[in-house]
Amino acid sequence: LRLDGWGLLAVPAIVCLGVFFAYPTIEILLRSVSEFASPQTSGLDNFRWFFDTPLNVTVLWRTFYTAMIVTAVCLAIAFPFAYLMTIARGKFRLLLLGIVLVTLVSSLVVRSYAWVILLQKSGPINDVLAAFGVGRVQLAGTTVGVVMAMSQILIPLMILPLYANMRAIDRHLVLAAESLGARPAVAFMRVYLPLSLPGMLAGSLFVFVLTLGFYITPTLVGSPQNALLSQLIVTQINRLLAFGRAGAMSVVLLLLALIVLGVVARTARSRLRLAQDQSGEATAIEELHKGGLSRIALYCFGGIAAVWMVLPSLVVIPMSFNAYTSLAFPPQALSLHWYSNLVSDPEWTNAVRHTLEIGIGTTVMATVLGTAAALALDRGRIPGRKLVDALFVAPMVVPLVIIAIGVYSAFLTWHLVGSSQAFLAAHTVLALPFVIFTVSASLRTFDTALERAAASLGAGPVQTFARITLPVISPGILAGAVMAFTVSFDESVVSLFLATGEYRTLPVQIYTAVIRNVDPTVAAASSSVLVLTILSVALGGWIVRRKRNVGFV
Amino acid sequence: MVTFTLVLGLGVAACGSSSPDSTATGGSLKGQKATFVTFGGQEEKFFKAAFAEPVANETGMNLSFDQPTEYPKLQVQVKTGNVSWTVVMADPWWSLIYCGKELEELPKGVDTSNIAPVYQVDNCGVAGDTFVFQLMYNANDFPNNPPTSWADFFNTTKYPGKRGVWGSYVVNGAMEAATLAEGAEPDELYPMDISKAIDKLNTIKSDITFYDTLSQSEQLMASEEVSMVIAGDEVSGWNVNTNNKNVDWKPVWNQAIESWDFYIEPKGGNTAAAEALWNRIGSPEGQRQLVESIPSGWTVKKMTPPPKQNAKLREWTPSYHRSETIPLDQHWWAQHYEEAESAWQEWVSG
Repeated sequence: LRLDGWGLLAVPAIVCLGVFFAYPTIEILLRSVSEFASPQTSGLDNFRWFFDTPLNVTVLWRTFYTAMIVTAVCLAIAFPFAYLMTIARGKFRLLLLGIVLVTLVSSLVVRSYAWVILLQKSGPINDVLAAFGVGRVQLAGTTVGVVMAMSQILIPLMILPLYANMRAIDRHLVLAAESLGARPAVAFMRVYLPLSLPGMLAGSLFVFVLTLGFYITPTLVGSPQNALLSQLIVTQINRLLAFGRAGAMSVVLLLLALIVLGVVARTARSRLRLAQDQSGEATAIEELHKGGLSRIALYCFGGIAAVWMVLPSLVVIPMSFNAYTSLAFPPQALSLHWYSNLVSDPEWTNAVRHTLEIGIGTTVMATVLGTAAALALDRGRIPGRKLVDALFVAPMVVPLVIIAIGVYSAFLTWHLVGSSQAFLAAHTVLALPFVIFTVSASLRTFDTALERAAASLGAGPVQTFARITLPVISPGILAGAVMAFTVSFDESVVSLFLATGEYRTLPVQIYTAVIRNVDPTVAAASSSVLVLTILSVALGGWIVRRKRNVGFV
Repeated sequence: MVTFTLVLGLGVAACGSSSPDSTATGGSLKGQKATFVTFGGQEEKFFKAAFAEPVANETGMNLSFDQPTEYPKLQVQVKTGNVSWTVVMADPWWSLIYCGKELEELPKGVDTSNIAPVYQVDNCGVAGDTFVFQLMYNANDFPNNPPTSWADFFNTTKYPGKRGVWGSYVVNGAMEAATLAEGAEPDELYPMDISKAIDKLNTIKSDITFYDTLSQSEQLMASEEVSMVIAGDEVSGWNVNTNNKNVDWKPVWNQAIESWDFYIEPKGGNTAAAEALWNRIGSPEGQRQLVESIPSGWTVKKMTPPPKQNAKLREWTPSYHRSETIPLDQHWWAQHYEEAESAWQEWVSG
């Protein structure tokens, strides 16, 4: 089996992922058995060290159950919300979807920073608790605080797969069960719930694996007493330069992620068949359900979930007008000083410039390489296809902190740390899977008869591609490009390792400012990012509606 | 022949421009790249203004800034030969460990004669400013009969409330505090018994809120989440009072632990630029400019006339309280850092 012409198009993406992702990741994992810091010396010493140190085992267990709790909390909030989305219509549905998308694309660092403000003893959450007579409780630096922050941040990743799944469930089935005598609750439990299981599994998987590799949020919101494995890995690198031990910890973390992935995939496969057999198109039968207590409860719950998604991040806006250099909330006096600081301080203006440079560069690179790869996957013959498929998904599955330390250690030896090329390479790797997926999806629905028609009318292959194929799949390419930009714009974990004083991107600058300075310039920067994000999503929604291209909505 | 002359000429010119200029006069540093690195925080801008920017203005060097100092980052720079840092704010005990290995020695042109010998621990850096690890308390929580000693810090019955302790970093005054609270005399504080100190700290662990960075400790103090802290430096308390209404933190000078910033250069850095920076850092003028803006202490023998400080600033400046404070034993920490660090991390995260 050999590569054909189409297959060749996958080569640049494969090389890029191979060099800047697969090699560094495998290398850091292998260092667990090749590099030792005293007193470890050889063989499996690093693993022995890992399991012999009570702290590591405690943290491993803590990481596992924190991920479980976060997943459960996300699922509990996301399920009714996603259900509400499926029965909502028109502008209301668009609004709900907009809320999810804004939450999804809002900067991770900004949202974590918002939680730092919220969870303080004198913060808004405690103000509310105090007003209700509960009294002020310690939230900052506790596992409860970390779980609240992480589940708020990750919830869109639970809602979207659930929503996609639920949309396809034919609610006539529930009605049928009820007409056969099942009480509504029973019909729901026995019919609807099993059908939505694939969505629940997919969402839970996303949330669980991401929690395992989470670094930014637990570091900002938590404290050493509730440190997660990712933080311990970073400590081994940042404080002790013990790449071998960090490699061993990464192996353990990756295995944990893969085991969960395997279990979920197995469960999902058997359930999916069931769901596919029985699902049809969602139909507008919910009118039959109109009124009733359960419906009011659903709207109430949906409203609470929407507030839960949107409100916390907005806390950075009043903070940005704080006249004092302090995190006290609400601000005791107001000022525009931090905005003028934001546009005049070179540390911030450079960070913005670098972020845009890297964002645009990444978008171009990932879109070109990703589109080519998607075409190759769709039409070409690629030897070792399964391996290539795995390579293209892997950056989304491997916990981010492992990619970060792998890339860091490889780029150190290549003398790339702190250069714009390093950021470009790393961000492209992380953005590629998103482009490949979106473009592949639009290619799957592409009718190749159009190309044959063009060819039969005398168009050459290049002309056919440029005039027929490209325009038809361009919404997919555009969506991929937008996602690539979003990934790069928001990337903080890998960037944190690649950044130096001279070259920082905005998320790194915000992160550094949050942990190093109380200076509210960070609130001004965060507010600007947040407002721009909301405006872009709103603009996107407006364009989609005008084009009546409401396929996804 | 022409080629030969040209090559020779270029070679000589190249040698000429790269030879170290011991006097570091203005012209020779013009346009040279250098990076001044601090531990960061709100006070960074004052360190820049006092120690670095005047040198950049005078010499025309192309100076940039980075923060925070992270020792592994410095080691990685030296190991991989990508040294971008020039002068780095560091701890004296760290310099004692790595002097002669990852660090450049001071060139002859650096004048350390103004600095009090107790601070100048080795020949790999210049002692620039002093600070203290000290007990601070929230005056709103203890209006009458406030805490006055490390023993009071550990007495959670008489002084209830959370305690802030620097969790991510072991050289934070906590082990000294525990040892002194157990009744050790100042002159028998070192050598410390690490496990005994941790046992003592463990008696109040449930009352401790750990902070990662000085900025986090300022947040804890400003939001009154804690009633006492072992502050990472006195400037953090002064910052909190300056930047927040209605909070009032007070320093306890009795047996505060005095340490100081030691400015070092990674091996392979730009030594000519470092030399100019070092001479500013070790000068009474440079230190005067610093302590007139924030309550840092000075390392120079004489500061006459006294720096222009208002009463608030003077109250927080360690140099006026040296009769009460105890110097950190940099040599003990240099020898026991690793042992203490791993015991500390295990205790904190366990």
